[in-house]
Amino acid sequence: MCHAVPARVTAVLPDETAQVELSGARKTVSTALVGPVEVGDYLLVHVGYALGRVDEAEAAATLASLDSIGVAP
Amino acid sequence: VVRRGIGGRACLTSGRLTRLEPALRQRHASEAPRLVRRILPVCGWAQGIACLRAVEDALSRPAIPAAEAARDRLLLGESAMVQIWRAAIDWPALQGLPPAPSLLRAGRTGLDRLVRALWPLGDPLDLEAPVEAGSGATAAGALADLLDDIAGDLPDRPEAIRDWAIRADHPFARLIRRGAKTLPAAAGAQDEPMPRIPEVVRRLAADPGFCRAPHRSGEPCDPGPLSALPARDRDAFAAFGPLAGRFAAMLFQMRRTAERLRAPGGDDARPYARLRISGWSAGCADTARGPLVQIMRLSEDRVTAFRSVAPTEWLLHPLGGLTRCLSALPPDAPEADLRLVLAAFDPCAPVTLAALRAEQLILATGETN
Repeated sequence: MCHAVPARVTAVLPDETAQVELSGARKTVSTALVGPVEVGDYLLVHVGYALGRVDEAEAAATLASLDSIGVAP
Repeated sequence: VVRRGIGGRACLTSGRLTRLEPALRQRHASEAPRLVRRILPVCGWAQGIACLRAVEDALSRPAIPAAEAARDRLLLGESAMVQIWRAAIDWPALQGLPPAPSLLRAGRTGLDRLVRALWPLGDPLDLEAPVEAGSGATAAGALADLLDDIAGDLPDRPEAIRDWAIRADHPFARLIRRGAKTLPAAAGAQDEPMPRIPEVVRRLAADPGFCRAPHRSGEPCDPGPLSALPARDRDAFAAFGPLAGRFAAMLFQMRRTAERLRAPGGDDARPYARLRISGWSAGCADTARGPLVQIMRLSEDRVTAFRSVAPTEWLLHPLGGLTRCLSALPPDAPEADLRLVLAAFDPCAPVTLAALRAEQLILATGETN
């Protein structure tokens, strides 16, 4: 099944991209689907694309759910 | 992971997530659909609706035709988004063309409008969500228009697509031609279509490991748009070759999806039927890549067991068409050809490729994001 991982925006980059933090690692993702983002926003990331936004509480709950099924972001 | 050894033979194993039960166990049934969508948002509405249908089955609620019709329309809208993704992101990348994020945004906006039109007063994944019967035609029509714009001059009859693919200068026609050249028709037979849903439910209920490599009597099966076609059209597309036929079927799917978004309840529509087999309640939802099946058991309205099988698990069967097509490539095939094979099968999984030695490649499918 195809899951996505919540990730916090750490920098807004040009060309509809942003840097996000995933388990301590920094990755660049496309934000074309979610529109303008700000540092501190939480995005749902799948194969290099932000699919949607979540708030901090939902991000934490999703990470906890993923952890319970043995998925490390 | 696919390893291509000396001679190019491919061996595939998958590390994808197949077990959601620990996240759902002891949750109240009404929470499960939203939780499933939150964990699996890629085809999130399909995941949530399959789960909601299983919950309603477990709670012995009858299928309500208006609600099921609205759900089917939403599933078509989500399928359209996946098809737009292929056309805007995946296929241009194969052809050295720029991605088209504006199409993705237009699709996302259209899907959001469809949800709001069908469920103006609630969440589609609530057990009691009131549905606005008969609404959503305008939003669904806008998504259909978008699919038709992307398809361009693609014929709307399967038998005309081969001629179009031979002569047209459209990027998608070039993609079909490239698929035919990379692996011609003689390279290998297609897998049979996956079994009917009640049979999938029976096998999933009987075998907790079924979801890792689903099959019919040991044989791999295909869940995708090619297999959804009537046998005559399927055979016609398969004659293009194992890759070209799959691309043609995905393109034709855009035409059919647009048609069905405009006029739900056509030839492909069937009333949703509750399934309960061997003590398991089941829910099913169609996605762009094929049917998604979930089964569950409840005790005092709480989830005690949950299993599911998604289309990608059928595609990643170690003996399936994807493995055979990778093996059929020459040992020194460029990475671009491996990518073409992957795009033709369209597994919903991130993929990385790394050359180990000149005669050996390693291809990893994982959920690393």
